[in-house]
Amino acid sequence: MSRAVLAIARLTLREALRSRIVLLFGILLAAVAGGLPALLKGDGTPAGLVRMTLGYTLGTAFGLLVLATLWTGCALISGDIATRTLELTRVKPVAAWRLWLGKWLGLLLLDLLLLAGLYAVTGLAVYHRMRQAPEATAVLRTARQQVKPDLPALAGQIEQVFAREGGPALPAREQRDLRRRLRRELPFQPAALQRGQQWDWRFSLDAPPDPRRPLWLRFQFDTDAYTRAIVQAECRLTGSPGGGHVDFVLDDFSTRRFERPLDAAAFAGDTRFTLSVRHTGEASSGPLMLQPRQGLDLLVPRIPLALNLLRAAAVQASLLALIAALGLALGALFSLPVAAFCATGLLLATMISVFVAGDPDALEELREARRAPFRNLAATVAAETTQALTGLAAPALAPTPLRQLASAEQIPPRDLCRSLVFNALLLPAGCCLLAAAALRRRELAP
Amino acid sequence: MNTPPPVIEIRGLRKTFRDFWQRPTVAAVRGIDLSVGPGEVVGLLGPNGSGKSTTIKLLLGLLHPTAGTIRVLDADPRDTATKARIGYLPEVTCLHKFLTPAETLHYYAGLFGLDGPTTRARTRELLRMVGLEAAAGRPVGEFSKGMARRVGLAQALINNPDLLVLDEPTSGLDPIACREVKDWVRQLAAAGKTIFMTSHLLADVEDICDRIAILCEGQVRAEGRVQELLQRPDAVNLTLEGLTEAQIEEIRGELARRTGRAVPCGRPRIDLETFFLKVIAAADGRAGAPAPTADFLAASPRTGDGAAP
Amino acid sequence: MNPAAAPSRSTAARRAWRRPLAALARTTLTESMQQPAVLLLTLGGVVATAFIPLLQFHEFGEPGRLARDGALAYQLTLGLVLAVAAASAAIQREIAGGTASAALSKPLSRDAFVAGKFLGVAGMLLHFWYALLAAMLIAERVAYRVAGTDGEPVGATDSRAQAFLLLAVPLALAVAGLLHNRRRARFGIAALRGLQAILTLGLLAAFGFDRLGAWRPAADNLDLRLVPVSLLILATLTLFAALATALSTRLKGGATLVVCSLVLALGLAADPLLAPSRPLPARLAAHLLPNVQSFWLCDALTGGGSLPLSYVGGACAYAAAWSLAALALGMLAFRHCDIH
Repeated sequence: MSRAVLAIARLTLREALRSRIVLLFGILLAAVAGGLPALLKGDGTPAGLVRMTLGYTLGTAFGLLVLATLWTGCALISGDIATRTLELTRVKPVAAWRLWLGKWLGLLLLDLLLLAGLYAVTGLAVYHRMRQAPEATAVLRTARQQVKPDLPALAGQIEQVFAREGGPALPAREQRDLRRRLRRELPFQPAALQRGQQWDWRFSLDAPPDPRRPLWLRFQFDTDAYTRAIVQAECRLTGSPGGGHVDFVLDDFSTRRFERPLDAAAFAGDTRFTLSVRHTGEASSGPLMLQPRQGLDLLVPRIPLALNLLRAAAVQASLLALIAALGLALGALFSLPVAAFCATGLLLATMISVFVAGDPDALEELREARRAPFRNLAATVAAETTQALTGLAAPALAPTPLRQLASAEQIPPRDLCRSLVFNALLLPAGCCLLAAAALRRRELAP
Repeated sequence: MNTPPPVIEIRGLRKTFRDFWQRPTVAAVRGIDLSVGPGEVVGLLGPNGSGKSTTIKLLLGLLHPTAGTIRVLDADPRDTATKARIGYLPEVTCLHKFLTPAETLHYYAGLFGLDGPTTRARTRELLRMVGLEAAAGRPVGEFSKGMARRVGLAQALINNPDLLVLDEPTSGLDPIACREVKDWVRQLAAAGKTIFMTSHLLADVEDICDRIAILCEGQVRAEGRVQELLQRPDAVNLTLEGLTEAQIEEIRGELARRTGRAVPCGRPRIDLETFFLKVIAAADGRAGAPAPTADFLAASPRTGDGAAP
Repeated sequence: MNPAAAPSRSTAARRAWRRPLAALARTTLTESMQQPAVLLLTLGGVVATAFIPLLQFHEFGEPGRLARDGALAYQLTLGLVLAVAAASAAIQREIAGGTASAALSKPLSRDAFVAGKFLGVAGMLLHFWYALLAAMLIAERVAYRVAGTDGEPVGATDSRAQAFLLLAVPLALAVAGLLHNRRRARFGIAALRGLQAILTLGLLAAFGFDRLGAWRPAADNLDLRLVPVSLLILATLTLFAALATALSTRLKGGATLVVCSLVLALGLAADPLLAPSRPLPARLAAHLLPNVQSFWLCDALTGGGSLPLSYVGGACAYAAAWSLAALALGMLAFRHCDIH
């Protein structure tokens, strides 16, 4: 890498480390990482306390880090322009993109340092808590691979239902609306199990489970409260045909979402499993409702918590790389107040859009507003903007490392790679090109 | 014989600043034609607001011309390859306040792609040259204006440039520092560097420049060699030392007889700057000591990266 | 000269410090309002307030509540950022830029300098506060509710008011742009004043027309209960502006921001800190620091409630006293400060 880029990165890091504001921010992060776990009361269980420590501490600190990175990114170039220190750099043989790259690398290095410190402190706090209650927190020591049941591909299912509902005969706009509705609704379509009936779901693993560690089945039933006391299901998890199996009974539906550990010793070497669930409740009990795409998982212990923490840190680092790139690009285009305002507004709009898009009811209400007359044009604009922002931001925001950490789920390598490539390489490269073009055109007037 | 191309060539240069609505507000440069040959020291003079700094920034690619062409070292000034051979001292030295002088020079050396040993050697020499060895470990934010200017000059020389652009190099400096800067400029010129400077301090420019151009309201009003522009062809100065009063009267009388009019005679004055420096030097015990120069700059002319031409 | 006509010494002395103080406050106000951050935060606050009625998926059991609470929250949070940033920049920028030296070399005492700076920033906050209050009143009016007293009740969103509120910002920017183009008026100040004028027109129209569009001037066309609650927020902003002004006589911008954030956090936790079981330093801090909880009372409007004016008066007096104390300490600190 060119000496110029390294020199600029070193300068950026040096300036930051000698800045009192960065020092104060580091102290604030340390206070959050060290103080928040001490303040949390948890849900009364040791495992719950560890989950909350992971989720709240890392979530709060990461939120602060995102804001700080965004505003620092905005200030790095626009601040240099305002104080005229950029003049002496621009007359040197350094291309605009190298200047941007050096600043980005410097900021990224600072973020990595802070993130590493944050994860180290949080990791120590978590391991300390787990040592105090080793058995109760055993499930959290190993991150589990989340395996969904083998179901027909969603795209194919959408086309089937689309054809069944007369989609090809509709006008183009209504076809688009119908496909959109099916994409939104089908993943959440529940399956109903009447009394006496049986479900069979198959799971395929890429590697056999560790027989020394339990397998877990996670259920989320859409069962109404009045039926919970009288519904019962007899279940069997079977490995290879003629191989081992485990029987268990589900009779406590007091919480909608729960996990059931199963002894994996019977499944040595198996990579295909079948879960059979038979509704054996009372005659008056209602159906069992479950959304197979959302509400059923086989969880297979794979990697230690420490490795999962590293993956989560890598995903969050890639997000910070994107945020830094965005801030730097805006700082190259605008003055500091305008850049910070645009960056904050964009971040808030994206967060709200993702939140709204994640709530199907909210999105449906916004879309309904489109069908009303002119007076709801503003709501239509809001709906389309939400959709567009969510679509643009989806690849960047798809990984949810903190939720996976708190649920003791493995962060899949594919998600990690996608996040690194998209958030840490491709999008920043786009920001770099945009910023370089702006810097080349921008005049540094007296 | 092929004459080398001018180091700086400006033809029909214009710059008009515009507001947000793209309406012209200030015509800072209104048509400048200027050339600077290799090894020349050229001064661009003018009152405040005449367009000197704007011309400098256009030369360095910091501003985009509204019309006209600029060639620096026979290339577009915005090319990064061209910038490798230029050193620039801005009018206001805006440095990174958290860095020490040594770190500042290391940073700018890095931007030129200089390797570690070269950077360290040049940093040492330049800090010695500008007299900041003792303050090398202090952050630049604590420096006075003069000290910051010295750091600015050092960073302008870190790449051993072929062309040195100095914007008001002696602005804000005390007389001793002014003299040192002028000595450095002379030594650099003697080493074959081309120097293009702006100033509104006429005495400084008169001392060191070979050619001057006078800018006013964005246009060159006069241009030429200092000697030719300032010399009065119709008069003669004689300076004689060791004459008695009687001899002076005899000479005065002879000149009056030959010319037919009274010839003013008086004792010449040294300029205030020279007198001031003498007094200070006597007090400091530094009488006659020349300003040091970085060894690598005092050698034969080299290209920007330190390699022999 | 008629001695009877000459001003007394005390009158002359009063004029001697009033005029420079007023000049300084005016200049500070103009400069603050020209800062991009003021315009951006004000416009951002108005736009965010305007969008609340669009996203009203939950009413929390009471029509207009989301618009009310959201708008008040924007006014408080954005206002606090603005108050602290503007106050700390007003003094630190002058010291760093050298204009403080120029000002203090005139017949202007250091105390008057600090007071003038504070008054200028407070004036700017008043502009910000008014713009958001106006937007808040209109947004609350826009929020979906059942309206109509004759015959069948009608569920309605006041779409005319909604359109007006959403168009206010682009219209203000357009007017400011036109003035900047034609008369070279300062864009920031023109945009802010334009926005205030447009929103005031909107308030007058909202006062005159009811939610169903009929001409029926009535006070209940707008939820004026918001005004006293919003006044408490203005008192909070002024209090923090005074604190930031006092701190910035000695501290740089970042440090001022950190201290103000701490004071805010402790102020919001004043009641728990005052509990008898807390250690003495915590209780002492809670007594000395401003009790910010006393100024955030949007819950008082729940279920048709309102805030008594006597409470508002008392709270504003408390804020004024605290602000004066902070400014006095700031003046003391500034008296012996080196300006260079």
